[in-house]
Parts: sequence; structure tokens; C-alpha cells
Amino acid sequence: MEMEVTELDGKAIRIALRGRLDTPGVDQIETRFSASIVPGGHQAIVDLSEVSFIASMGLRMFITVARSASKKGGRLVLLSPQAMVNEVFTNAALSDIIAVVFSGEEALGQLHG
Amino acid sequence: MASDEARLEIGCGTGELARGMTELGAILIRAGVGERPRFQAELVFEELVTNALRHGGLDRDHPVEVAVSLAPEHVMLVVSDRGRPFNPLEQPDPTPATSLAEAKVGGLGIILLRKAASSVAYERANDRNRVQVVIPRT
Repeated sequence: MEMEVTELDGKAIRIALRGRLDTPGVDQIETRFSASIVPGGHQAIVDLSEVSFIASMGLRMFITVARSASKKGGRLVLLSPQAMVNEVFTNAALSDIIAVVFSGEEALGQLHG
Repeated sequence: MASDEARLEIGCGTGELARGMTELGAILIRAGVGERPRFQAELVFEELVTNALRHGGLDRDHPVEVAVSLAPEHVMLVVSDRGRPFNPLEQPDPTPATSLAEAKVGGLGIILLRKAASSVAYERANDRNRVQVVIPRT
């Protein structure tokens, strides 16, 4: 599992994830993922276009980090999940509590909206 | 294609889950299982095996066993272990959350399991949990 953080303007960052968000994948990145977003109260666009798999551990990581971030004024927006990953989001009703968008403009709109 | 079967064992050591997942993926690809049912089968495998490894109190001598059977219409996984009795079907689906503050992280695996499968059956026999899951290939 790979993770790359890019600073955008202000408190916004973009985090590109690549690989599989199963238990081993989440174990590899969870600490860094949380540390990149939560303490600084960042507005994070999480690019999922190269994430090929997700299971409940991955959902749990997003919910936990989004909740902690929101207490510090931060926010998560999930960008461009692949079709099967997005179906998992839908099945778990994740999109009701964390924004899921399919373009960079929409993601920035969510952060500034 | 005739029905075909493979058997995997996943122990509680580091890296075992990842190894099992890689083996499962290879079996499914070799058998020509499409992307969607493969994703669903891997999801079921992940949820049931992690559950057994985390909550079953298993030791090194008692790995989780996964039997994979392939038929033209479906993939069947039978996950069994000697851990504490645990019936995933008896766990209630969590109420869908409408806000982050009230979102629950427990129980998500069971929701995903039910959505991926056309049938899920549990039995406790000979001191083993046995969960049989059928995933449609279409």
C-alpha cells in the first residue's frame, strides 16, 4: 500500500493512495494517514483512483479519521473510487457520512462549500 | 467448467492473511473468474478470516481453513475454524448512520458479507465454526 501527500493551498492537502485497503494494507498506512490529516485539522482530498480493493477495515479507517479530523476543523473528501470500491461505499452507506466525488473540481467545491 | 476445489490454510502469524489473499486471487484468476465475483470473493475471505483470527482465540496449531469451490454459476467459500463459537448471521446489522458522530465502525464487515453473497449459512459442528458463502459469478 502506497501513500503520497501533496500540499495544496491553505489547510488543504491531497493524499493519493495506491494498492489494496484490506487489513494488511490498512495496517501499513493507517498511522501515517491519520497523522497527515488529524493533528493539523487538514481538509484532505483522498484520491482513490488507484485503490483496487477495500474491505471493512478500510471503511473503518476512513470513518475514524474523518471523525477525529472533524473535531479539529478538518475534513475528508474521497475522490474517484473505482466502481467496485464505490459499490462497497454504497453498500455500507458511507457516502451518507463522508463526501464521495468524481472530479477534482467537485472535491475542491466540497472543501470550500 | 466442472466444479473445482482448492483448500487454503491461514495461520495467525504476520503475513499469513496477505499470503492467503494472494493465493485466493491466483486461484480465482486461473479459473477465469471475472473481476466482480473475484472482488466479492476476496471481500468475503477478508471479512471472515480476519474475524476468525481476531476473535476466535486461535493458536498456531489451529489455522483458519478456507475451501474454495468453483462452479460455472458461482464461487463457494467455506471458512472454518476451531475458535470460539461465532455466528455472523446472529449479529444485527448496525443502523445506518446519518452523521459522522454517530457512525459505528463495528458490524460493517457483516453488512458487506451479506451484500456480496447470494447465500450465507453457519453451523457449529465438531467444535468448529463453519460459514458457507455462495457468490454468484454473473
